[in-house]
Amino acid sequence: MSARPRTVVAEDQYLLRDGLTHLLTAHGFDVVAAVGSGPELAAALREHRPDVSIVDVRMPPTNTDEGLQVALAARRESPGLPILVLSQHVEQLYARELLADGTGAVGYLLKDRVFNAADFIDAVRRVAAGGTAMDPEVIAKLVAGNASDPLAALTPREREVLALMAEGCSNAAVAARLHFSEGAVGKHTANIFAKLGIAASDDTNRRVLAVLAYLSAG
Amino acid sequence: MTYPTAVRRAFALAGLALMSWFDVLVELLAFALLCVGLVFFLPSAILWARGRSRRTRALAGSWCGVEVPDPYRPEPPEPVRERDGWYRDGNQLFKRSWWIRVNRRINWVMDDAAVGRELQWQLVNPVAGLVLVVATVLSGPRALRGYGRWTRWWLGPRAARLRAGWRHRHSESLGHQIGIFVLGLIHLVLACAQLVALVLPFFPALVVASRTVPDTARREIHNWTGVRIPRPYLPPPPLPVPRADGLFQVGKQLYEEPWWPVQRARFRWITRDPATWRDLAAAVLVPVVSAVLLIPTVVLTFWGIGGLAALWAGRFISGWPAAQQASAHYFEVIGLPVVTSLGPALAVTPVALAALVLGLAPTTWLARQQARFARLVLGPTEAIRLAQRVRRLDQTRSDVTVAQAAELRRIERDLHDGIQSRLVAMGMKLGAVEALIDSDPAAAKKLAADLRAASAEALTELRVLVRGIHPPVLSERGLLDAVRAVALDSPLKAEVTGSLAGRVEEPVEACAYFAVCELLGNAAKHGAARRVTISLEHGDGLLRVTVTDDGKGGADAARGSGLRGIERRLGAFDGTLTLTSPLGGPTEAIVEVPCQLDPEPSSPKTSTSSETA
Repeated sequence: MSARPRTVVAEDQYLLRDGLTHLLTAHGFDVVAAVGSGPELAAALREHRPDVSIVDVRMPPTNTDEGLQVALAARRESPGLPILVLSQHVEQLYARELLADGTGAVGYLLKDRVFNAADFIDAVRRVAAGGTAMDPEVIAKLVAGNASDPLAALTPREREVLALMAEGCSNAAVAARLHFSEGAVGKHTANIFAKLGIAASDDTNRRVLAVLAYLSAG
Repeated sequence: MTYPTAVRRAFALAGLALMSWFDVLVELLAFALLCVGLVFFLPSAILWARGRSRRTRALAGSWCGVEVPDPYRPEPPEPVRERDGWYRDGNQLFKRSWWIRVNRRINWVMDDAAVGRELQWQLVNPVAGLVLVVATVLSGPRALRGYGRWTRWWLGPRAARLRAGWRHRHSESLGHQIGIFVLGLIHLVLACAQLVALVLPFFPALVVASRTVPDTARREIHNWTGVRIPRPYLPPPPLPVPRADGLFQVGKQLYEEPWWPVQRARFRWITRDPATWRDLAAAVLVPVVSAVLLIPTVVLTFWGIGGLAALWAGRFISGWPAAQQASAHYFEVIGLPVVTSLGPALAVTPVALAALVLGLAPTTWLARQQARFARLVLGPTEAIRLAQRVRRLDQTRSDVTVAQAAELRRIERDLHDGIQSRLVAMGMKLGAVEALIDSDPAAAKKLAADLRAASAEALTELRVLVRGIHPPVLSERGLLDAVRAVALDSPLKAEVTGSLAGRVEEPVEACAYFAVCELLGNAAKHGAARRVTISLEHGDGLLRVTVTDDGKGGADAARGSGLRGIERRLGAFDGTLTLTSPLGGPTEAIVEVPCQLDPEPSSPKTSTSSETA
């Protein structure tokens, strides 16, 4: 990734699109295209191959889930293309579809999260780096559901750690949120990977797989 | 086990087995009482006879070494007194609980498959007891073990057969054919009574009361053959409305009491309803047609069974000259050559078997033909069907208008109390920020942070509100994916199957979606279910959503306000909710709405954006 990640912003409401462009530029991103509809987004993704894209779910011309469909199609074409999806509402269904290919580099956040610029930029950077950023509300719905078979082996503490990992937190961030040492978090994550039967590979990929296991258990 | 012990036990078991014929006698007596309307005795007799089988089961365990577990379904729960002091069963309230208890026990006993098996066992067990005695005398304790297995086969639990065999299904259809015929006969008797009463003032009451018989026929024909026969009757007349001076007017005549106007209206209602006369016609036609369709089957079947019995049963008890004579006589009647030796008997057997098979083969088809004919005369005519539909839509339209107005009120209140007031508060805080920003930047910063949190809260609130009006996932993805999404959010293990070849019309979509949400919520909240399957399909202009859960059942559309709400909302689209929820579960709810599929993925909707690129 270059020093200034090349970014595509797709959002049909002008004010928000403009705001996002300013926010990202101010935090050192290079916004190469800011578009307002599905076909334009598809063209921009193909043309610029951006380091990260911010995509709204509902866009013209259909005003249904145009943005999500374009994002999924683009990721099918070039797996692992980093895309952060923004929406007025979050659905587990969409989260699963985004994570299903297991290549990571996806995010799915409520539009409200833009309010907290620091957290939002952090999430964008994480996705650009191949990690995940899931909205706490998706995760909360998962936790509310019955934790079933694959997760039955996890201790409550491990489940907590997994929930935070699913949001996209790094070990350091998990440690900060749960108030224990980073080493302890490392031990927990190792246990989680072992219990879910996720083989050793690079850490980011394993985290995505763990989140997938978590989602499919809901 | 020593040989003498075995023989002693065999004799004891045979003695016990003989007693079961006495149980059968008691049960037959109770059944006879049931036929004259005394329903209480049959369950008691069956439960009483269980004493004998329970003893046999215990002895099979201790004497024969074969443990036989109880096969019965668990007892029904005790009726629970409601908060208002009444006991409730369906649409009926009771001061005391005994009738509900009796009713539940009757259903519990009669629905148990083990009861039928036990009855058969009671019939054949004495013979088995005799065989046991002989076998034990000959071979010792081994025979006892065999008897234990025999007992387990009859009296132990058995997995329900998922698909009945050919013989079973076709015999059952024969039973249905006979059932339709018998219901027709009962109807005929009542129809004669109606004709006699035609001139009497209680004619309407009699007609209304005897409609239970064709109603039963409609219901059972649907259960048996799957042919649905809707009720064709006109709704009862409204109560007479008095004039301003309190008198009731009929034509040119005024009455002080409403009695005569009511009688007159009811008489007109009954006599003007074509269904009354069609029912009378059906009472004659259904038994006649049923008989015509039934006679060949019955003759062939009984000819086959009788032939087989005469050929083979007579042979086994050949020492009994009376039986032989009877069988020879039987052959003369049914036109087979008199068979006395084994060779011709073997040759004639296929003929008798073929007659039996030929008799049973068309029963399912014939039963359906009988049902179709019954639908022709017992169902509504096209004109009545349309009139009923108009009436129903008329009713539901006003329901829906009221419900919609209430819904708008709710949205207005939510907006007013929630988001509007939040925005006002935010505006005031913004003013404070403006005032403080130069003098006290730290306080202004803190206020700005508060404001950000408040705006996030307002958005969350708005999101919940929007979801209640029209879930975004529904407009984005259509019914199937929206149901998938709600299934994912459900605390139950929910499985969604089915496919829709296009978008369902938008209002129907929302209606079906909210129905599924309500049903899922009910399954989790009241049904104590763990698993739910939801299936969606569209065919013949009908959207059908089936929600099945493994909960404790006992759901009642007349009871739950939620289910009522679903029915009301569906009613606006001429849709229906069919609920099957026996006590103990499983609950199956079928939502059916007539609608068309839009084959286009989705048409562009009006843009909500403030600006288009």
